[in-house]
Amino acid sequence: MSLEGHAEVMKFARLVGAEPERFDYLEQLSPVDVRALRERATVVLYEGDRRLGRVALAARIPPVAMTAWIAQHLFGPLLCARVAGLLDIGRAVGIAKRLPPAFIADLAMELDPRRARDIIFALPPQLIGKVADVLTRRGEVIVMGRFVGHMPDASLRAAFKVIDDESLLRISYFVEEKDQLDHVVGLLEPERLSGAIRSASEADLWPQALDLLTRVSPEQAGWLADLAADEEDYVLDGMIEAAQRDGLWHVVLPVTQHMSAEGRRRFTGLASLQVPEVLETVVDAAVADGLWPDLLPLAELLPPEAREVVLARAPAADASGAPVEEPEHSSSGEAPEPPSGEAPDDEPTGEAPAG
Amino acid sequence: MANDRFARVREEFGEPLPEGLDALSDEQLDELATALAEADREQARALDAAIDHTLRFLPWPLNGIVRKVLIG
Repeated sequence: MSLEGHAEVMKFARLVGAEPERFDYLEQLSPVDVRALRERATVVLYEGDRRLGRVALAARIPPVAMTAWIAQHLFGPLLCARVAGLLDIGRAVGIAKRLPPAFIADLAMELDPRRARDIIFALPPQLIGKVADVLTRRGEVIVMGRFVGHMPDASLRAAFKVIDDESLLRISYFVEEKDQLDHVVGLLEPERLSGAIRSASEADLWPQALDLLTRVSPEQAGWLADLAADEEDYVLDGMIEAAQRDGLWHVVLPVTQHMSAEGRRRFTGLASLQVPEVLETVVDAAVADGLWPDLLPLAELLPPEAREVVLARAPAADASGAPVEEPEHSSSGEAPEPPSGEAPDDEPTGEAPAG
Repeated sequence: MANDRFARVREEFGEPLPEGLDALSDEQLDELATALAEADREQARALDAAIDHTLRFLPWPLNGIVRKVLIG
């Protein structure tokens, strides 16, 4: 099961109010199928009760201030969440401005952001920031991840100010609108991203961090990997340990293609990468997933002893029948040329992509 | 998705159902339908309580008209 699929199962469990373990069997489905199930369940829960339309109608009767009082003290967050999308935007925003952030956080936990997108866009960023602060303190990363794709930049920036680095990384795991991730990551200062990268090692979140790299553009993934390469050894060691432990080299290798030459030199210079057992796993992954072109430029940068491990492993992998290009063994110990003929230094500079 | 073993999931989730559900066993399909049915019942119970609470404690000037809109 992919990390994305696991995140989908967690979101489904959250929607139906059950523990994720109850739905372990859903992990055999594709993430797209689990998401489709969640969307069907959302329709049932939001549209199955005909009373909700009447509640929305009733909510239009009292003055806004009175409705806000009723919403908080009588309706409660679940009922508010179910009717929010049925309200006039101006009225809904007027009500929301009169509610305490903790109550809006309660409401957000029950809300499908797609059904209240226009309201969310119209809320003041300052209020969004206060709600994000409450949700962060509660550890509600699934909720926040679902909202990321439905907020304007000003609101996202207000939220990012109060969300700690580790939570940012955890939230990224649950963001649904992949096409917006590049833009959202671009809103963060490099210092915040570096902090999130450090938290990947400090909180054992490299699987989540690597998942993020698969969901942004290759150029941005390379830039993020370069930021990681600027960190101390323990940070990169954590990534290597996670890739080795969880079989994620197929994620790491393509990203290295888009790192700067300096970043790749830093990466290949790590002692934790040069461990023979690790290198053999890297080669096996490259062969199994057709990533030999990604590995070759790295092999060129390895010290001779480590390079020999790579070259020694490659023929064994070829013998298994995997469709790989046989590397040219050199008695001088020189690394083979990358198939593209491009020198590693011709790769991207590591400058932040536009966005 | 025309197979009968999906009938209960279809009843709870509606359609269209994802094709990938073919991979689930009959027991897993039944458990999936049960999970949503439970969530639906729990939500209905919570909404009942919220609406009852609203009608009981709504300030006097609004009570009558809101009651009329909510329950006809």
